[in-house]
Amino acid sequence: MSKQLLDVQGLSVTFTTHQGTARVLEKVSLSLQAGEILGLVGETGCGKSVLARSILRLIPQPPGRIHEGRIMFQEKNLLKLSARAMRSVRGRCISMIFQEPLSSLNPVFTIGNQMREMARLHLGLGREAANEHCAAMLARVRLPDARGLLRKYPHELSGGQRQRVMIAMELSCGPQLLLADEPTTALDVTVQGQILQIIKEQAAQRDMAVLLITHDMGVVAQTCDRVAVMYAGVVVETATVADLFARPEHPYTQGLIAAIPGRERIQQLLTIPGTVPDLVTPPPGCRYHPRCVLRVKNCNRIEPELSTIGAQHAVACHLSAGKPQENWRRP
Amino acid sequence: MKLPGRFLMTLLLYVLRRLAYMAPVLLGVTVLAFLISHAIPGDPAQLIAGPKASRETVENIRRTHGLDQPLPAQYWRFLHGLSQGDLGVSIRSHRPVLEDIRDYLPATLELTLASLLLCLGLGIPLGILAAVKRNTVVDHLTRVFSVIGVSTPVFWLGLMLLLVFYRHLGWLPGSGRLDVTMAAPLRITGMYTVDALLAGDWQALRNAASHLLLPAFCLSYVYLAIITRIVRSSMIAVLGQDYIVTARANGLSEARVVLKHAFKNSLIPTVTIVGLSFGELMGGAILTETIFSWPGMGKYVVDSVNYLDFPAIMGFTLMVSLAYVCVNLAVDVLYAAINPTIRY
Repeated sequence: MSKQLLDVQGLSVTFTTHQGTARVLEKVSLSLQAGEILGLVGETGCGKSVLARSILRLIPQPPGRIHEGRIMFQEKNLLKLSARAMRSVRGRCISMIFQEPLSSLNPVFTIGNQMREMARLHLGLGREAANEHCAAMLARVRLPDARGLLRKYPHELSGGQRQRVMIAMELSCGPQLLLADEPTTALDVTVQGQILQIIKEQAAQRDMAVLLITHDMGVVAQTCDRVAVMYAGVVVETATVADLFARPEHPYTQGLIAAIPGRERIQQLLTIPGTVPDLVTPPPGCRYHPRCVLRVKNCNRIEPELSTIGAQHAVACHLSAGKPQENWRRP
Repeated sequence: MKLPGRFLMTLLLYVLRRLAYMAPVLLGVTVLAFLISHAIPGDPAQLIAGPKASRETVENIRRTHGLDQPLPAQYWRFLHGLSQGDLGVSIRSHRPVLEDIRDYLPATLELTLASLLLCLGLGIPLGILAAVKRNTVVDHLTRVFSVIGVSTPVFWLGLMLLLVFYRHLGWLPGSGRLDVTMAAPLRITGMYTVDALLAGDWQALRNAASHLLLPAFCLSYVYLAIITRIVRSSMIAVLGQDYIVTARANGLSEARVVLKHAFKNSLIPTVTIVGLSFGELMGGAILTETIFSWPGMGKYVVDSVNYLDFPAIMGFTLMVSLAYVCVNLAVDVLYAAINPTIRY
């Protein structure tokens, strides 16, 4: 196995709220290799976006605070970098695209203005060269009339076009890692497919790693190499896509997969009962135990560690620890 | 900023259209001003002639100023004169109203514009600072500064400024537009600071500016405070937007994020307030002019109203409305330049 591009170890993040201190990320560990697409799935509010923003150190502090852990990127701990050094990582080495392509582009500047600004900053290009470069980038994400597009404002574009512009902009400085925070959630299904295709293509061409945040298991199956499942600020399972769908280990993952609307289950959509816990006072032990149908007596006392159960397959569940896989059944 | 030619063309058409709309607005203003000023009880002819004048003298004055004619005829006469650029002769000063305006309006305009400049030049940076340093000492200090601003009566503020900076410290002059020993710069706009600047007369510029500072601050303080608060709150709203996160995620420096990406967006609500403030500043100038013996139109208009000097009232009302309409046109044009979703 080649060296890790990104290696997050034991990252804990809290947010101070009126109700108290919310433990939004709890000892999260993740790693990504060059060229790999890792899907990060979980319900709304489970800390997926906070994780992505923490990697770029973009969480507002206060109220947010990164407590412990390391974020190693190309052998450097991002949490130890100076503000200046961090700025040269942002956009240049690690880029990010967001869910809402309209609100993530500045409405009062042209596409060209925003794209050029970045290219000039990171690549040191002159105005004309930057223009050339940006037009070429737009063409690569299959946007016709790139030159004309540079003179347009975000509101003059459709949602899919805007998201492509975002991708073109974020890829323009040749990052090694792209953080994609639900890039297709706000788009039509047809456009969604195109955007994922573009992300996949670009990752392959540039040997770029992608952290694809989504709550859509379909998107994961279609796009990713590996998956990390998050629940209430904790990574509960990581596996290759094939492994995860074939042998989901954690009861939460099993629930997520069972809840995918499919042709054979059209008559009744399965759901996971209950809601995401309050992170100010998370449940003791395993954070999933109040909703878990398989819980045993240790679940509400001891927090399970993420432990390896196979090649590239790790899970944080008492049921799986040290047990052969045949011994349990899906509910 | 490079604007496409197509945009400039549509903008020009828009400005022309707006200038055409201006005519009915100003006509409406004259009708209203005319009716209201004639509804004030009193006889201007009697006022001019004095209490001991004979009947004939009063009748004579009435006839020479056309006050004996019915109202529609008087209005028609006014309009007829206006169409030839003649605003009539002041009943009180016996000079053409246009000449009076020429003498007094530039002083008021200078004061108003200087106040507006102070509002923007201080209000915008203070607002940005307060938003960026939200909930810190800086923010609290600007809040105190603003609250004092909106809650201090102008007459009291003016007196206090005079007491401190003129009487006790002696840093700034307390009245007039120039030292009496000083000759006014060559008249181009009638605004001394601007004229001195155009003539390159630095000594006159210094002198005129030092005279202007206290009254301009006194007049601007309320709006300065309001603009500071508006800029702060719109800046805070903008800084929470997704595109600010994008800008930061793209590696831009904090200064660039705030001053380029956030600032232009936060200007949209600010510009509206600035347009409205201008009218208020012009109206508010009267009080400030009185406190600082500023020879502007404030006192002239008050005297004209007391004397029922109809041509003067009409002339000044027209000029102030014209200035107000022009400023608001400028505001609308600025809108289009700032906010690309607005196209005319």
